[in-house]
Amino acid sequence: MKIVWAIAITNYKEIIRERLLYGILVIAALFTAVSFFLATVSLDQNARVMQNTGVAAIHFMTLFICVFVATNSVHRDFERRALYFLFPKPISRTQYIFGKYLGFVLLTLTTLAILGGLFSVGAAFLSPSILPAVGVNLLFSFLEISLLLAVALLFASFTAPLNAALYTLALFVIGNGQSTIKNFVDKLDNNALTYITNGVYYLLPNLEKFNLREATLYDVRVPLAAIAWALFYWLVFTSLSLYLASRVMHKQEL
Amino acid sequence: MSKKTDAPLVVTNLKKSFGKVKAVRDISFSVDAGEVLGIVGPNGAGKSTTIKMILGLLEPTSGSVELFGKKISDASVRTRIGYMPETPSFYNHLSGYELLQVAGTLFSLSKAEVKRRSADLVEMVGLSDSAHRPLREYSKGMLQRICLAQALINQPDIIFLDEPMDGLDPIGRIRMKETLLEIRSKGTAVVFNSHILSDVAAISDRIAIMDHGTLLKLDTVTNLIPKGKTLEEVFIKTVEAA
Repeated sequence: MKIVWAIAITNYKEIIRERLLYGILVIAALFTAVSFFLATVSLDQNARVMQNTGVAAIHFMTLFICVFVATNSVHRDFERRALYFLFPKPISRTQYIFGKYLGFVLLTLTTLAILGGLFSVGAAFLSPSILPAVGVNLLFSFLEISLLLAVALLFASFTAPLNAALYTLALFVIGNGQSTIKNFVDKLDNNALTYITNGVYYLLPNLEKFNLREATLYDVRVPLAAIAWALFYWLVFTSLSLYLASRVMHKQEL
Repeated sequence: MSKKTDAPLVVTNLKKSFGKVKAVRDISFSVDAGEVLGIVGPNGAGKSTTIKMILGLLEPTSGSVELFGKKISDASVRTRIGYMPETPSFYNHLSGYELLQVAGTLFSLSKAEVKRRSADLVEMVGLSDSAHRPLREYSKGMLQRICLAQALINQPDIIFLDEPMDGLDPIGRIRMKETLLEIRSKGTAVVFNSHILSDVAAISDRIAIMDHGTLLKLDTVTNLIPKGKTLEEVFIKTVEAA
């Protein structure tokens, strides 16, 4: 664990000391701040609009930042020969993958804390009642983004950084629209399409499990079983992605 | 060649192909404790590929490598080796000290031990004044030296250096030579490759000449270089005759 943590902290320091990240975070904070403006121009729905747009902005911005940073970071390790520094030492490639992932998780937490913190300060003045719901949403945002980062790490272990980022974002889009696609195909009554859709439904991550935005917006109580299932789903999918990434890494020649 | 199981390094019938290109063709050699082996050869001779296979960074097509009688996949072996890659850049935002701290932690050294060894090593490689600066501000020579320091943090029994003199100015080369001789004096075996033949002749106990993935000659400096001749002359004659 000491070795995994050392790799994680090194990875985190390398990312967090990049000046470009601060520029991107400022832009992300401005996007998030737009939710306050939208809330003021909405009719009697200020709190809901602020909550919905604010949480969504934080979620998308954190996702974009973390996925692009993560895929580039793995590429840099190859390009700058950091792997030549690491692998002749008594560490395994599995420890490397877990260390990198843990570093990305720390980055996600930092980004969510900065954007979520700034938003919460604004919300505390304008509409403090939404704060508990914002907290729950950010927690599930963290789960979804951290799952996608494991997938991004898998892609980055064998393909170019831009490709890895785009594949991950494609999975994000598909993963958030799986039920819609499945319902649509079910109505078409086409057996072949139904089989394919069912295959995709079970193979690719279903990220709708982590989307509580609607539920918290309308005060719908989410069953505890659904939350437990989401956590279990996160654990299985993240572990599987990291395992596959470490297998790919074991086969990589440097 | 007789196998010496206690030898720091025994390479047997090592081959590596990249598709149809044969990068290393059936080479065998060993390195004894405290010995310095210099590998020379033109670009594409297979020097770096050989070192990478020894370190497990590349998988050999066939043949075997044993370090202290064990495979490189054995993590306990890797606690006894050091490696300085060619033109390193690593982690640009870390300082020299931080890089050494990470390296020491990866060898499971205590914080106090890492601190003590780091101070000694930056002194040895002449970076005491700049070890707190981020690596992105280092010149190529400084990067080479901090990279050598990280390769020595675990006090290895054998160290591999890929082009350690590459890109260094004359003073940097002299310093690197002195450092390598100091490492040797402590009983550490050294395997390195270089294009600067005069340096190789000055530092090495034995010299290997490679070309097109083949080990053309391997002998002690005195046997390889006849009196009145230089390594350059021997090298050109050997490579042209191959």
